[in-house]
Amino acid sequence: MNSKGSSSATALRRLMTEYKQLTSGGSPDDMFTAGPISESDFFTWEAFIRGPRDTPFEDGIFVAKLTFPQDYPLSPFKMRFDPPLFHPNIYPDGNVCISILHTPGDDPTMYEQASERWSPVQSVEKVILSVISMLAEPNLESGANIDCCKLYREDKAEYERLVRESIRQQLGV
Amino acid sequence: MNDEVSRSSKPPTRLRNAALPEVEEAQSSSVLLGGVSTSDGIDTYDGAHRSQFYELGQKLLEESMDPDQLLIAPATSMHELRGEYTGAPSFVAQIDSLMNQGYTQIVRTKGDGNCFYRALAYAHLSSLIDSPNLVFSAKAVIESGSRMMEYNYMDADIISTFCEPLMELVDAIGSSDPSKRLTRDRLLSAFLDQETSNYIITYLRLLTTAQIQSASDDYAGFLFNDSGDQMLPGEFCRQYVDPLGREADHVQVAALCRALKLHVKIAYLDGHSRDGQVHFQEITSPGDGKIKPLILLYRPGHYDVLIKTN
Repeated sequence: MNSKGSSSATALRRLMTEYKQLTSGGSPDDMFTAGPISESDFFTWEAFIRGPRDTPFEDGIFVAKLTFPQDYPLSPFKMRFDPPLFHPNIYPDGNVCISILHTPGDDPTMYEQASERWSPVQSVEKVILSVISMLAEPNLESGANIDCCKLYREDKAEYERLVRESIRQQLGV
Repeated sequence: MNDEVSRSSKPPTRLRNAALPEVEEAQSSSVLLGGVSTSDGIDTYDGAHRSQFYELGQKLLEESMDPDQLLIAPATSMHELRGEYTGAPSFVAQIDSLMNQGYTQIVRTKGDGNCFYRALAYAHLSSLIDSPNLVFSAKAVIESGSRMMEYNYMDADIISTFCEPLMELVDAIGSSDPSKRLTRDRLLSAFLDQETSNYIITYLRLLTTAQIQSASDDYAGFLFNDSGDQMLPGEFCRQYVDPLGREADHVQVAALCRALKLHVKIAYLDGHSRDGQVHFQEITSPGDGKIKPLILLYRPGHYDVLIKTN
């Protein structure tokens, strides 16, 4: 029932293709870069994401670690911001909670059935672009950071102030 | 799309959604819907009561959620299935009627949301093993399917990655080297291998998407989300076709059979007949010639493969 060896060979081939496409094409408007942390391990990537303009995240550059399973792209990868971001859809430990990184059977926060799910034709690029739009527009229906959801709903100005302050701290200014 | 669904002049409906606006005739829709949702008269059938249908549905659900269930199981006798329905006379009568027609074995697939794709792929390759003279045209159909995917802006690398495992099996059917030739046992072990099996399913899903997008005028009127809102073809495919584990409804079934130019008959085992009559839904495609139909067994929410022995 398993063919771990060949499975990771297919996954590796796919990851190399995606990496090549990302480095040759670059991301739209230089919104992010992503690639393996070391050449000896193609299954762990690092992404640098620019905070989207006209949002409280706009001055920040955020680092996320992408961890790919051996059966990628049949199964999705995991994405974790390090350090964590204060955002309704990011767990306090930095893990990103977004429907596109979950398969239809996997429903940690009871996403609506109609939400977009992982499929093998998704890609690192498509997921990161979805995460960037999630930064700009949180999805309060499927929250991962309950305190943050509450604050966003009840006092959006304070939420934005906290986000901006944490970015300034991270940048050390 | 109506010409593909020969039994009925009404448009195909999605199998699992009772709220669809186009479900108008209770009589024909209850057949199409396999008893999942149109509850008209359920209590009157053969003394089977709502609770009993509920129980059977639950049983099927539990069975399908079993993580230890094989992706696909070797053929077993229909007697075994019959044994699971004792206490549901309307189902037993239908199973008896199928056995009397020569459908004596069943190849069961895992209820993981991919069962239609897995059952269809297995039935298709299995019938090619019986008729190796059709391998050449089956390959041509798959190749043109890959081109259709490219026209729909799918990445050529991605297409070929997912196409390879399927093509390898098809090629092995016609192999002149007996040690490489595909036998039923080898087909079964290929389908038990998680990666091979799921790559083939992914390919069929992408092919279904390409078919829906290339003939979007034919399908546009039938693409709805779970709340019954109409969706654009691209959006529908991203959400209801591409992801592994998303069940196939009528649109996906019709589109994939068309893309693969298959002749398929689906037996509805739904307990909705007093006298054990089993309704077969027949799907024909313009290019399917006179090939023997593939036979699937549909129980509400699940597909398996039926085998006819004479």
